[in-house]
Amino acid sequence: MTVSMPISARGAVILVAALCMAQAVVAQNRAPSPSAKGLISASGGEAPALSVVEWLQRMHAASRQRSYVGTFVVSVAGGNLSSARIWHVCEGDLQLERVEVLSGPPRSTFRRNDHVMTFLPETKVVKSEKRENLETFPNLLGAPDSAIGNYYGARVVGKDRVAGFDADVVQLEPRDGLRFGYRVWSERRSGLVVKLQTIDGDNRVIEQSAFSELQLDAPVKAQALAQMMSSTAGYKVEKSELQRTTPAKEGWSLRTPIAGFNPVSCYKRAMGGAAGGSQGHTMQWIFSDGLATVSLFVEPYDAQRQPREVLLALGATYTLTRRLTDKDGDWWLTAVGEVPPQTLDAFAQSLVRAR
Amino acid sequence: MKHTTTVHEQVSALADGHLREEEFARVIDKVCSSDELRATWHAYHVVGDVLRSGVHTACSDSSQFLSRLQQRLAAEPSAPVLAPNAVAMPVLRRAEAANEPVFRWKLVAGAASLAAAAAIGWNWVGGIGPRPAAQLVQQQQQPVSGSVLAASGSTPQTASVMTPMRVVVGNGNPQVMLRDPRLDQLLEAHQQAGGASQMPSGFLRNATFDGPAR
Repeated sequence: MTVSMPISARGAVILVAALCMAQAVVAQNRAPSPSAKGLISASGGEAPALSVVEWLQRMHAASRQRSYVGTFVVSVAGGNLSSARIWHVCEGDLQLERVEVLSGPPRSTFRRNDHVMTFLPETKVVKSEKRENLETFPNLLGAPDSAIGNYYGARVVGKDRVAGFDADVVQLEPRDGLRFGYRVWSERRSGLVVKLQTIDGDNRVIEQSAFSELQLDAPVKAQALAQMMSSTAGYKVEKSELQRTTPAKEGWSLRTPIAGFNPVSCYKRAMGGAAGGSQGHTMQWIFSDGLATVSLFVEPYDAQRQPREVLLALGATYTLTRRLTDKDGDWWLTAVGEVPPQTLDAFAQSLVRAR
Repeated sequence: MKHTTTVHEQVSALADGHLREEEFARVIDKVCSSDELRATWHAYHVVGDVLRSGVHTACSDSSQFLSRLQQRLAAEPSAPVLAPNAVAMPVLRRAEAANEPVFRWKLVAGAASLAAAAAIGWNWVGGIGPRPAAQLVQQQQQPVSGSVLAASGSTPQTASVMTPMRVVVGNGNPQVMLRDPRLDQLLEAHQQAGGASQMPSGFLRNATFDGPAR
């Protein structure tokens, strides 16, 4: 072992802290819902019976508190595999991550908290952006009665081993047909998500991602990652053009809300005209039910650019395009989300011009 | 090598580099003797290039290109033309067929998604892809069920579109790929906004995913 003493000592402290937290959560949960005990997997019996929010809190806490190095693999139904080498380090409030893809054109992504830099060595371009919604979830930490529980149920379905680690398998089941289900492999001791499957209404796995190899509490140097992230010499830095707005200001509203999906934010985006076409603005209205996200992109209709209404699938991500007719001209809606097509349709039916 | 049936399929196989020996020679002969087939062969290559690279290649006059090629060939020192022999064959790197299942947007065409779409009265359109002959397009009339809308809590509407189109490709698996840079841009914007990243591993998933967004 080459792990130096201070790091393994700190790892032990974090581990103890994580275990204490898990115990506290278990104790908190057992009192009000004794019936939940029946759901604990019979084998081993140590998997805590937690609510969906408690499970998610545990999983998020793990990825915010542990350092690790591993190989991450993503596969979608009918496609081939993507894989990447992952470095993740936590120092206090600082989180640094490096993702080096191993398949397809080379690409390295660095993240320092909500700041993301994507290096594309082939085109010598770095995309720099702030991801405001990346840290949405921790907001739930103070609100255990979050609405997620109204739309998903959690149930431990068994035990498994992933990348050499024992994991609890937790099924997050949607309570209606407007969202997908998830099967999550949560590392037994830390809670870290080591494998995730997205499951459609017919119980088919439409997308899965997992660590094929993982080193928990690996000695990752935050400074080294930070240095690599700031080495943009020779690259052209592209910042994404985002402008905050409101749906009301853009003249749009939903006739009926879609159950569980709350508006998160709304932006105006400058879209680059790909083939020398006119550059326009697109409104992006973002909704989330706590797990799945839906983006509604609305722009003026252009018969040449948007000839056909289509429904497309890419793993768990569906896209629906639709022409919206209105007195003051036609609009083109592109709805994107990790939701079943009928959810996108419900959004499309509900979206109306408001003036 | 699977025996291909229609002439267009043979030309497609030729463009994808799937033909060998006699079949290769036969199809080359056919293509050389027909302007229409040569145009088809050219079109398949352009389609393949666009699907593979996702970039529109400036494709001007092909005859101009050919004449330039011939000039260059004439200028080259003459060397004995080596017929590719059978030993060298396995070493040849097979070009990726443009319609291989890679991570691209797929036009939804599976049986299950068809049911969902039919229930809502979806109008979707197929017909993209190099081999329209292989696609079985079938129209289907289906009463619109309100269950989905009821579930969403919105008022059931009279569906304006009542004729969903069934697009079945090859063995019935969804295989129609669509490479649309603008859609890729929107997908990227969606991911930036936290799409698929509400799960703790979501960011890793997006950064790893060899999807169209790059």
